[in-house]
Amino acid sequence: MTATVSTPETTAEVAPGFRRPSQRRRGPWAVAAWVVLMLAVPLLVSSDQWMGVGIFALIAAVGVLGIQIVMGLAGQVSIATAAFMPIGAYTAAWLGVDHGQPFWVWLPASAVVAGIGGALFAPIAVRMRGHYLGVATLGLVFIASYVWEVWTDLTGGSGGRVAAPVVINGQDLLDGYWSGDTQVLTLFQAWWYFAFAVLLVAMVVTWNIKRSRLGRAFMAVRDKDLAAGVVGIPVTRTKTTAFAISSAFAGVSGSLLAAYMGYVTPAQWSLTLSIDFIAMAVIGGAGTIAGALLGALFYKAMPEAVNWLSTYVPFVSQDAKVDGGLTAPLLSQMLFGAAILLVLLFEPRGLNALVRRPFHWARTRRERSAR
Amino acid sequence: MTLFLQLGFQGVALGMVYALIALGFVIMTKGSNTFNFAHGEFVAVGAYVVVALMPHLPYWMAFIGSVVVTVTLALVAERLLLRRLVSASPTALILATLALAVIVHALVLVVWGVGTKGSAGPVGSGTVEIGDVVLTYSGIATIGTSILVLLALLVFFRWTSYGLALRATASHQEAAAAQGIDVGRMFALSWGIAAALAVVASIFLASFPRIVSPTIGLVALAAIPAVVIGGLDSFVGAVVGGLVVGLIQVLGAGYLTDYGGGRLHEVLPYVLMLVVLVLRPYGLFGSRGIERV
Amino acid sequence: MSEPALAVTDLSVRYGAAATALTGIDLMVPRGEIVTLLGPNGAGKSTLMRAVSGLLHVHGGVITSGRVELLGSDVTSDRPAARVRRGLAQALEGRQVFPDLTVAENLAAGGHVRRYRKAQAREALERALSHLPRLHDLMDRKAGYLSGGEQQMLAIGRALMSQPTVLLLDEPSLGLAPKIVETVRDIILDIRDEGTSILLVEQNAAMALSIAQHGYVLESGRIVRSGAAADLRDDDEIAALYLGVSASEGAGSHA
Repeated sequence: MTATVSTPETTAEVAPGFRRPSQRRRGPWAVAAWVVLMLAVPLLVSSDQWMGVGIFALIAAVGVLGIQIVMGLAGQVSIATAAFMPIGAYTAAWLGVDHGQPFWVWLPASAVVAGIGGALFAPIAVRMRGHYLGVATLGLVFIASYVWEVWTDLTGGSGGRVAAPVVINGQDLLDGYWSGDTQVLTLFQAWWYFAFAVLLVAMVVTWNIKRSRLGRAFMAVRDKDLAAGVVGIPVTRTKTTAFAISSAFAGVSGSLLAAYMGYVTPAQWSLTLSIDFIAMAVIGGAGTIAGALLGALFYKAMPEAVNWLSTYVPFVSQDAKVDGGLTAPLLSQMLFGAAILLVLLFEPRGLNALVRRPFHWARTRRERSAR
Repeated sequence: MTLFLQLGFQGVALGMVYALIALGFVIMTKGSNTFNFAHGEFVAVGAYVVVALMPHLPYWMAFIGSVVVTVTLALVAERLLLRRLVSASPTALILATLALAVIVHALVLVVWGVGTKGSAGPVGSGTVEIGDVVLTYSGIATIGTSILVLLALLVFFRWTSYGLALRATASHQEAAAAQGIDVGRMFALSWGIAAALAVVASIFLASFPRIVSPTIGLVALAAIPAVVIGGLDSFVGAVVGGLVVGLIQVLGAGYLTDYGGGRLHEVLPYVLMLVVLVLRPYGLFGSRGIERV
Repeated sequence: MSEPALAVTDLSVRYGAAATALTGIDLMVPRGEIVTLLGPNGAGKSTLMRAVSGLLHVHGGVITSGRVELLGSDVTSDRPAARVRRGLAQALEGRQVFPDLTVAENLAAGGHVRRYRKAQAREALERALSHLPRLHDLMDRKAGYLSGGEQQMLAIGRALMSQPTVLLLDEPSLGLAPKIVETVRDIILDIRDEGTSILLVEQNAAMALSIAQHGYVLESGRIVRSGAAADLRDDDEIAALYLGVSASEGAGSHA
C-alpha cells in the first residue's frame, strides 16, 4: 500500500460510480443520528473549556472543508489558507463593524470576497503543480501577512481591531442568548449552535460538489490533469473554481473565527496556521467531509488534553520559558507533528478511515456470515 | 554612490548566505524529489549547536560538531521518513516535511528556549575601509567562504564519481538504479550535503546581527524565493536567486524605508517570486519540465 | 564454467494484491550466446527483465516464487547494485539515458558501480566505444538532445561500462528506422563476439531471431514456446503471429 494522500475514498470503492448498497441504506440514518448528537452536545458537555474547544473545531472544520476540495478532490497543494482566512475576517469586520451590517450580510460577503481572492490567485496557481505550487502558495501567505500589518486603516495594524459581532434579535451571541431576564443559552451554547449551523451548510455544499459534475472534474484533474484536458474537461477553469471555492470556505472560517474571538490581529494569520489546516485535512482523512471535522477536533482538542495531562507529568511545565525546557504547548506541537507523520506513514486515509474500521470490519463479518 | 556600494556589499554577503541555503533546497529537490520545507529548521539547528558548543570548544571544532549533529538529524529524517514515502504524492511529501519542520522547531525551543542567544561568528567584528565603503570582516568572510564552498561543490558534482552518480540519480532515477547506483544512498547523500550547507549558512546568518533566535528558521525561508526565482532544479539559479534576494533585501532596507511601513524589503522577494512564476513558471535557469514534478 | 550466464527457475511475479504478471517462468541464457524473449505487448517481457535486474520493486512488483541465478549464484533477493557488481548490466526499455548529462557523463555513470581508477575507466570507455564508434564525436553533447538511434547506442554503451558478463537489452530496436535497426543488430553481434551473454527482449522478432541462438515466447505471463531460434523462425505459427506484424507493432506504444 503506497501512501497516496490524494486518493482517499475512491480506494475503498469497487469502481467509480458503484457504491456498496449497504452504504447507501445506512447513510441517511447515520447522518441524522450524528446531527442529533451534535445538537445535544451543549446539553451534555458542561465544561466551558471543552465547549470552547468544540466551537473552535467547528469553525476550523469549515476551513478544512475548503482544503478537502482544493487538495483532496482537485489535488492542488495549497499552503495559502492563512492568506484567505483574513480576507474573510477583515471583510466581515469592515462590513459588520465599520458599516454596521448584520451577520447575514457579512458572512456571505466574507465568502464571496475571499473566493474572488482565490480566483485572482488562480491564474498563477493553475500553471504550476506539486512542489512548485506549494512554494508559490507559501509566498502568498508572507505577502498577505505583510499587507495586513501595513493596511492599518482596515486591520488596526499590529495592535489589531474589533471583529464583526454575530447579532441575532438584537443580541450579541458573545453575551449568550436571553429571553427577558433569563439566559436561554450561554455564550458557548449559542456559539456552538451558530457555528454548527454554518458548518452544516458548508458540509452540504461540499457533499453536493463532490457528487456533481464539478466534483468529478476535480477528481479527473487530480488524477491526471493532462488526460482530463484530452477528454474535454477545461483544466484551467476547473482548477480556478477549486481555488475559488476553497478560499471562500477559508474566508467564512476566518470571519467566524474573528467573530468568536471578538478581536483580530495580523499576527494570527501566520504560515503555521496554513500548515495546521492542511494537517487537519490529512489527519482527518484527505478529501472526506467527516474527516474535516475529525481532523479539526483532533487539532483543537489535543493541546487541551496535553495541557490537562501535563499537570500530572512532572517534567512538563505549563508556560513558555526563555531558557528552554519542555512545556505543554511545545509538547503538543511535537505530538501534532508526530500525528501528521504517523498518519502519512501508516494510515494515509486518516482518522476517518481509522474510525470506520471497526464498522467496516463488523459489516464484512456480517456479510460473510450471511453468505 | 558610497551608500549604494556599501549596501551592495552587504547585499552580496547576505545573498551568498541565501545562495547556500537555496543550494541545499535544490540539491534535495534534485537528489530526492522532495522540496524540504524543514530545511529552514536545519539552519536553525546548525546555528544553535554552534552557539551551544562555543563556550567549550574552539570555533572550528564547534562548527564541525554542528555539522555532525545537523547532518545526522537530516540523515535520520531522510531515512525514517522520506525514504518510506518515496512513492507518495507531492502533497504527502510536502506535508511530511512541514510536519518535520514543526517537530524540529519545537525541539529547538525545548532545548534552547524562546529567548535570543549571543553569537560570536567565525571572525571578529573589525572592518576594512576601501575609499568610503566600510567592509566588515564578517561580510568578507561570508563572501570568501561561500565562494570556496561553491567551488568545492562544483568540483564534487563535476569531477567525482559520487557527484556524477548523484546527478545521474537526479536526472533519471530508475536508469540510475539500473546502472547499479544505490539510489537510496544518493537520497541520503543529497540530504547530508544540504544539511552541511545549512550549517555553513547558519553561522553567517547568525553573524549579521550577532544573535541567534528561534525565528532564524523563518529567516532562512527567505531562500525559498531565491530557489523559485532561479529554478527549482538549477544550481546556477540558486546562486543567482540568492544574490538577487540578498540585494533586494539590503537595498530595499536602505532605500525604501519611507514606503510601506519600512518593511517592504521583507516581502519584495516574495513578490518578485510570484512575478517570476507568472512569467517563467520553471524559474530563470530551471528546465521546462520541472513544474510537472 | 559449466553453469549458464543467467538462469531463471520457476519464477512467478505479481503486482499489487491481485494481478499475477508471471507464472512459473523457466529461462536460461548459456554463456556467450544471444537468447531472445518474444511476445506481444503486456505479455510480461518487461516484468521478467525487471525481475532479473532487480528493479521490480520500483514498479510495485513482488517475486512470489522461483529463483534468478547469475553465473551460478542466487541473486533473487539482491539489490540492483549487487547484481551489477556481479556482472549484470542492462539497457532499459525506451533507452532512458540521463537527459541532462553529457554523453561522456552518461558513460561514466555506467561505470560508477566498479569504482574505477582513472586508467581503468579509460580502458572501459575505450572498450565500450570500440563497439559504438558513433559516440566518439558526441561525447560533449547532452544526451537529451541525441537522436533515438544515438540514445540507444548510448544506453548500450553505458551498460557496457560496467564490463558485464550478461547484458539485458529491452526493446533496443523500438521506434528506430530500419537502417538504424541494422546498425544496432550489428552492434549486438559485435558485443556477443567479445564473449558477453545477451538476453534480448524484442518485438521485432525477425531481427531478434536472426541473431539469437535460442528463443522463448511469452504470452500472458507464461512461456508458451521455446527452442532453437532457427526452429522458431521456421515455425508457421510464430511467423504468422510475430514476424508478419512486427513492423506495425514496433511503432506502437510499449507495455
